[in-house]
Amino acid sequence: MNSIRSRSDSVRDFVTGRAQFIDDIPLPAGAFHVALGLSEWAHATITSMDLSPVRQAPGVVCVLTAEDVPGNNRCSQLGDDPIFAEQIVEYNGQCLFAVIARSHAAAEHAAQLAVITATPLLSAISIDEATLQQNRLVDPLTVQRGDMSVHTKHQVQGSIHLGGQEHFYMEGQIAAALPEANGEMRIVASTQHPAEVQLLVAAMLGCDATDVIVQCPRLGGGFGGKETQATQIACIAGLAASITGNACKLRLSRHDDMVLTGKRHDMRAHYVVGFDRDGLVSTLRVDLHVRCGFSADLSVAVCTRALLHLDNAYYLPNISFTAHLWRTNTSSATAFRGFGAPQALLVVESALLHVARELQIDSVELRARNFYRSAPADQTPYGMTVTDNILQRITTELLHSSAYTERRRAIALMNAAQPAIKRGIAFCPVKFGISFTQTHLNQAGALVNIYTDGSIQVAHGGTEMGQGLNEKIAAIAARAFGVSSQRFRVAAADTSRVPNASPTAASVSSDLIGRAVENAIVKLRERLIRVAALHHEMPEELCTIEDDCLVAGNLHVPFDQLVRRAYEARVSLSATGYYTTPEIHFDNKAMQGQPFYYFVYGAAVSEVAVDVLTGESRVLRVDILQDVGHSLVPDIDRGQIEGGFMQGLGWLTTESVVWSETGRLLTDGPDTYKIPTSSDMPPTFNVQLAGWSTNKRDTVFLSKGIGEPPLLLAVSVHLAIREAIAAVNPAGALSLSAPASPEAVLHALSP
Amino acid sequence: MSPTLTFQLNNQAIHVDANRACDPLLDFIREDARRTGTKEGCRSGECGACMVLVHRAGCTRLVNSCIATLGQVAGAAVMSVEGLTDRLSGALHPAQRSMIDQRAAQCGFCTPGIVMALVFGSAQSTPAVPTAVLSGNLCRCTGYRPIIDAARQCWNDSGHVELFDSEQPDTEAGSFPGFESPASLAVALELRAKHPDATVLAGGTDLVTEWRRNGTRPSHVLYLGRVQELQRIDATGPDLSIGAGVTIAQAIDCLLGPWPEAADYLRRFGSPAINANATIAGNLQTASPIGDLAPLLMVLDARVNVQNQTADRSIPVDTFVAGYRRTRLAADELITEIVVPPRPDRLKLFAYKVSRRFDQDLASLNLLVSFQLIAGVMQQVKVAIGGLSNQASRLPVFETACEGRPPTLQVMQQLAQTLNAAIEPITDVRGSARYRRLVAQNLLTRLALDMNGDTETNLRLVQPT
Repeated sequence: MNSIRSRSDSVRDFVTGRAQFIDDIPLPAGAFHVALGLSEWAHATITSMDLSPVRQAPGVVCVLTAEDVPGNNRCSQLGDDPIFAEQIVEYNGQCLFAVIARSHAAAEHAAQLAVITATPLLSAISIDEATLQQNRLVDPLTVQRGDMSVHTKHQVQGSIHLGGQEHFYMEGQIAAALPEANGEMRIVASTQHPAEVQLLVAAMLGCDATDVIVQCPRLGGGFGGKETQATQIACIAGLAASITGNACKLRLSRHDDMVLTGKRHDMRAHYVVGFDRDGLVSTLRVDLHVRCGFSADLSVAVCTRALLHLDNAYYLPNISFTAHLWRTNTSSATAFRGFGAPQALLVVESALLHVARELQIDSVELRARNFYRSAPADQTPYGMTVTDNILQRITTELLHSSAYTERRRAIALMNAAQPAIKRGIAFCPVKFGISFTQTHLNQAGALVNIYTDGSIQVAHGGTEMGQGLNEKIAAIAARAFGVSSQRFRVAAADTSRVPNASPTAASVSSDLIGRAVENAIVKLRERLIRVAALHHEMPEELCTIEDDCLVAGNLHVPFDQLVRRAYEARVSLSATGYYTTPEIHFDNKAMQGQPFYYFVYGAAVSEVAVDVLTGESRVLRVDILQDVGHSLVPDIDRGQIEGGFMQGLGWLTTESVVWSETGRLLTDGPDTYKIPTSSDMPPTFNVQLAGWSTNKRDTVFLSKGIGEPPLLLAVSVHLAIREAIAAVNPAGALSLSAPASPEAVLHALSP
Repeated sequence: MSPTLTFQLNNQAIHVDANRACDPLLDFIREDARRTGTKEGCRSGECGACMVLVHRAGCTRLVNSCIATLGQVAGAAVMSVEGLTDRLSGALHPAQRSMIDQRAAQCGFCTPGIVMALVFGSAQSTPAVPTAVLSGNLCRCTGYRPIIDAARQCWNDSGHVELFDSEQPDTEAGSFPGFESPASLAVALELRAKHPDATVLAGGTDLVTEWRRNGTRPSHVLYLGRVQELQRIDATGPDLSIGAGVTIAQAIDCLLGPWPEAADYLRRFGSPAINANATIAGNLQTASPIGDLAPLLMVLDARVNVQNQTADRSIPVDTFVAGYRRTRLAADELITEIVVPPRPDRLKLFAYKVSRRFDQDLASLNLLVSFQLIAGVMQQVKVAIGGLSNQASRLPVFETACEGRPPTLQVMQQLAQTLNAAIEPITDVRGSARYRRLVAQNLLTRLALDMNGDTETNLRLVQPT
């Protein structure tokens, strides 16, 4: 199993090709390979399924369908995601059967040979169709405050369409299952949530969780796409291994991955905003119409987070936010970095842009006027008080460092002189709430083992997917213990080491796991210090561990000796740690409470150029000032900011998820689905951490979560494109859809 | 004993059953040789995670191993990421060192491919542009900034690393049953006549992708990669003659001499790993409606020379393309060369490609226009359009309408209606018919602005304020 000592070690493994992803791990000789047979109907009753051509294909061992599942044919906790569809298929791309063969190629080939007939049923592909059919997943979710009937001097309204997003993790979905001689099933899966995989594989096999061990060495990217979507893959691999008694691996082709698994929720949003002549917003009504796909998956949680971010950075006294969750015959929309918040941010920023245009007030000035401020303007719509707001300082510093005002003036002059290329510059603030909105998930465990040579293993339930969690954990552990980080090895995720872990998601992993590890280390430190105090006959308060030594007065004892002494004194060198986020609570029905432990703040200024003849656009310069509290590892945080921003940039510019009218995914490969390449990176890309910031909450070394918030900063690019469009057609700029594809931009430019 | 196919992998000799000539190089590297540093990301040559270097006859190419076959690398030396580290000292290659120094990996899955692209970039004779060299490498984590910095660091590193052993394997690749690699045109034509159903393979960047997509594999391949006569470029005469087997990278180089205006257009043709393997004839013979080269060659008045065993003919590029993925090549013929006539006096060339993403994207629309500007008016007008319907084509009616008119803003905008009437765009994921019509007409405005020259029109040249 992979584990890391430090970041540079893992990068060294990557550049030499030594790092092993799941597909690289040697399987026992004679292992089988699995491929899936997928539905070609969006919604249909299967009338016949002739799998004999599949069974007879060369290299095929056997074929699995729903009938072969000994336990629960479900791969989600909510129970509405079948592992294999039974009778009814609910989207084009849904899994109908699996082929087990002696080679990957044989399995993939055979999977195409099934002869299936079906009777199509009425389907709802688009949000409009689902609305027409009143095909709701659940009742609408609502957050309300104040009096929406108060008189407002001005009112504007508008609509905007926001597209979905394919995760396009470079390593596709994959799992291997290895039946152990003792009856255990060992699953090695590329998942952000090993504990859920463990539970659902056990339920599928009809055995106990103790019979299933799930390990995750590392992920080749997750971004939310392997939070729930990896479970089905692991279940099918597990079933194949259980039935054949042989090691089995399921690796999806890029095409199958794209059509089978869920993506970011796309939405159609409508806003009505009331405001006074100074641009102070008094009422905001927002309706989000959300395409959820065929099952619930995480849609309720995603829409909840969306509703809780429709305020972004602004005090909005009277609001009514509603999310309509539409069930459609498409893959089940799922978690994607930001989890509904990016969509919400684009909607509220569109509304504020509209207000600024209406009043002809500079949009930065308008935003700043509406920022959260002192009581009562520190109350969020969901009953939480904003106590840590630093946006005013971030804004001032960023506007200065990016020379926003001067550049805006220069751009206006250039736009007047240039007919074909129009520039735009825009500022966007971000406030992002940290914690799972499902309060119970805000817990983490850890296991820390000291070996008698003084080396230390840290195990936790989080998964490493490139975000640098393990290096942050090693840094936290070293600092908490007072020893060098070189002593540590952070183990790969394994459900038998640390049980019941929450998914690695919601930007909370270093907060939760870091504290849990610290908690275990505090216990071990106390034990070691007690041993030393007894041995050296010193009071415990005069003993400490720092710089790899026990220090007691003038005495310096190397850490290895201290450990050996503790072992000989028969003191346990192993401890578990545990942490739950304090103070948070949230009533999911009333949509009130304190769902977040704290907020992360940031802002971006982006400049773009738009070709008004073709609608093509290009980002020219981006300046970011981001709050991370006290940064644990600045290089990692910078990487998260740059990478998250570029992922958001892709969502808002080049990446389009398109389904045909009959529900076939048209953007089913990298030839049609375009994530950014290096030439889409802004040529000037200034990223600064707000070094002066701290966390007012007692997080681990006062750091803040950073995984998701920077993605939202890319909304500034969309706003900047609209500024450029406004130089030609101010009305069109307001309704520019996302992504701002060349076609969408040209449409917005046309009167 | 069945015949054996030989190549080198990381300077070690590899012998494979020649029946596997059509197997993807990637699968051999990962599954047979167990060099798992090379990753599978998309299996369609789009993401670069599987990149390796292929060295033959003193020339090193960047190759997407997922769309290369074992038959194509027979007799060559292949280097995977594992081969970069010095075997004796364990010292890292500067490309690896710079990726570590710049912390240019997050999840690490794309990293080996990016390292190979950096190594390829460091071997360029002229200073490489990072975004151009990396245009075929996708990274979903980093946002590319540290990778670009790593490229700069690596390429500033003056130390040269000799990767391939000076002693190369026998370059005689040989023919295998079902995979024939003739070394001369005469033999190639003979085989072509004998096996008209055989699949003709050159760079394979389109063909092998199609095999992957359809799960098929041809029973009989005629591989032209070793036919010496097809590799020639002759720029000594009035015409520029480009051998059928000349790679896109080489073809671009020789086209840019006489046609520097096409630089921006050709820059976006494909990634280095595509351009280094795809051939000019392969690109024309696929007759893909979104091939960028055909419409350019059409307005340059280029011709396709083809031969069978007894005769040869010369076909204008615009009539060579006969329909959706169809050409006028007969079953016993091979393309031998593409002939581009000399640049006429006072010629103006405008080459536009519009796509959703700048690099490595299929065109929503290509519009190519050439004319001679004589006495202020357009003469000998040639207009070709691509990317918007089932084939690239010339637009004769529109050309006639342009003939004798001055390329002013007013005139070009008047002509937009005629252009609109001459095209029949389709709606697909790359754009609606309505959008394509609008852009096609707008590009005439751009042409007039570009003629004039004092207006900013090129998005890539725009500088931040």
